[in-house]
Amino acid sequence: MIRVGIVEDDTAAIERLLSHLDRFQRTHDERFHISAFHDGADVLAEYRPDWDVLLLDVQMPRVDGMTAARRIREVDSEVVIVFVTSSPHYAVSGYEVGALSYLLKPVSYASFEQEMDRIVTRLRRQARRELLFTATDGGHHRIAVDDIRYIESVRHRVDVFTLDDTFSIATTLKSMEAQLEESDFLRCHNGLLVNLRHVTGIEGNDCHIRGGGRLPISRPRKREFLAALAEHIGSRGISA
Amino acid sequence: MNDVAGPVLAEIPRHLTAIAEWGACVVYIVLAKRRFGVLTTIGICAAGLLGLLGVQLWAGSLPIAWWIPGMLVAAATMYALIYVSIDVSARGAGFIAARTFVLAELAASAYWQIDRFYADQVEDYVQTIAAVLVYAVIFGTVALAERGQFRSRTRFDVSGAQLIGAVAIAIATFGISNLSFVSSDTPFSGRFGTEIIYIRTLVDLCGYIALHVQLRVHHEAVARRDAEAMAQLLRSQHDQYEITRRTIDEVNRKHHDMKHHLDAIRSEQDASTRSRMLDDLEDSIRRYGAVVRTGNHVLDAIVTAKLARAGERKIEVSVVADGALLSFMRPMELTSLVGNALDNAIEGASTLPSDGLRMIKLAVFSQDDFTMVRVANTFDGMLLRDGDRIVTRQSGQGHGYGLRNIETAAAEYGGALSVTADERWFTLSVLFPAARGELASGA
Repeated sequence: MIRVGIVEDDTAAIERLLSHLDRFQRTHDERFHISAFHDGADVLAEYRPDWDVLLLDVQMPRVDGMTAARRIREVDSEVVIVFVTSSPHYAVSGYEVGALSYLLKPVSYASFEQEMDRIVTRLRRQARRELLFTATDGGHHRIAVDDIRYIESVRHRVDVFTLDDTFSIATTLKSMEAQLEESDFLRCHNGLLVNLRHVTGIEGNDCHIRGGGRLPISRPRKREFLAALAEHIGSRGISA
Repeated sequence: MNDVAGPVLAEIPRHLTAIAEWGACVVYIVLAKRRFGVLTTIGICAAGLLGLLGVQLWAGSLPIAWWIPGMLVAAATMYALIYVSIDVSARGAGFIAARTFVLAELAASAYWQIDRFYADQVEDYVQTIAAVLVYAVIFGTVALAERGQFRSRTRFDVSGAQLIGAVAIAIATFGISNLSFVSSDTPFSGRFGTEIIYIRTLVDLCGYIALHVQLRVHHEAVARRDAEAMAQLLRSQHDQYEITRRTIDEVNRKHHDMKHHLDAIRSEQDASTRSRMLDDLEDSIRRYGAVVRTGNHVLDAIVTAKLARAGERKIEVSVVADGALLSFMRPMELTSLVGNALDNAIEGASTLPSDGLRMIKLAVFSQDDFTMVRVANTFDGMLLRDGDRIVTRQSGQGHGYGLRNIETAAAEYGGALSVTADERWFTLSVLFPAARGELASGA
């Protein structure tokens, strides 16, 4: 079940979006839970971060869509925000709230479907993957794959550096790489497997890792690494 | 052949030939892009030297009738050494092997000519050292001349026609240079001892120069063609930018005029005339409505121009862009990057029927210390690939140059490129480090 909020002052436009959502439900075998608000102020009143998707009109009389989106982002970093606008002028700065594309009014079903299709795919992908393992000290652990910053191979074990902890596992980097294949992990160096989502910058032949620290990128891997990073960061947002 | 040549012309010692062959290969291994790291390459080269010495000494022990097969085995060994150590296609390796073969002949022959001139009996090791010194001078000179022709960053490949040309030159050179040794009874043979060696050196030199010129002419033709195509594209992108800039200036003037129109309307008493004046005014400003403001004038201009083109083709475009992030780029590169990317996207989206499926999404945003420029478009799913790399989805005139221009413009600022596609969307992502030029330093 996907929870969709429509925030739109024009009743005809709401009807249009409702019929698109309905058609999408039927053709894609998807279930939506839909609520409609008539102004940005209404959605902000008692806002709870349990929406999956918000379709936000940009121009509304009391609180406009952009202002509403900024306020929502302060408390909800997860919800997918899609602006619906009559003119590209108004949504061009959507990047401020992580809305990297918008729908133009009147919204055609074709473009609605394309956008919704990507959103649904993205929501599915977000399902958190976890890693279960026994550390060398004998403790059993369950950690979120997304929280792993990087993994370093040290002689006959690997050290897993997460956002707030470090674990040692008696295994090889190769087998870790195989386990994490579906996630965005890449070797920047022979003995280093790095989570691309935690690469925050590049400087010379080093990459910066979230939470401080640098890892070297080996020369033969650099080109491939940068291309993978471009692809990873490019896949952010709903339109890729 | 010994019966013709006599003792003066005694065959070149086999180990000297092997060293020449090996050295010629090493010249190109140093110049071109290698397959492996430095240590592995050194290991391969060492194995190659042993292999070539082995082959030559073995060939030297064969009866004279086996001379040609012996040479072929040596040539094959050189080919293998090149193919393993240089990042090269099978054709490219053949092309380089033809050069190394002629170069080795040239070096060995030149040394032997000098050796025979002094003709003193010296210790073997003195002879070997002298040979290595002469080879070093020849190979060093050749490396300087060939330096510009082999890039250490790109995989080497040639067309079939180039390979055939090079192999033909090598075979002709080898044939003519050795003719005198096989028979003195042809119009092209030398008849006197030292003269025969000199002919061989000269013919090898000519052959090698022919090979060098062949590649140089090819490179020049390619460079000229590329430069023309790129200049053409840059010119057209820049022209569009100029046009749009003028349009924007015009909008500003219109804005100024508008105040006068509004004053006139305010003072108009008749309601129907006033309504007509308002309609006229609305019409006159309608076409200026679509100017996008991203916070970067150059980006605004180029995006506005492309929006108009996309509009003509019924493509729905969404632009979410923090233009200020791209202020580090000069107008020329920014125009080239975004202009070409959007042109490609427009071409791609146009492959679909115009019933609402044509879409382009441009996004410029930052994440951590990166700036991302992303252009995604719907397309018909047809891709052209080179290996596992997507080249372009266009064909015909200007084929592939768009992506190359984008790459060039991005590389200028240390940007990295990624091209991905699923069955509906084609996405080009260009990633820049926040501070300019940092990626470039080690790339």
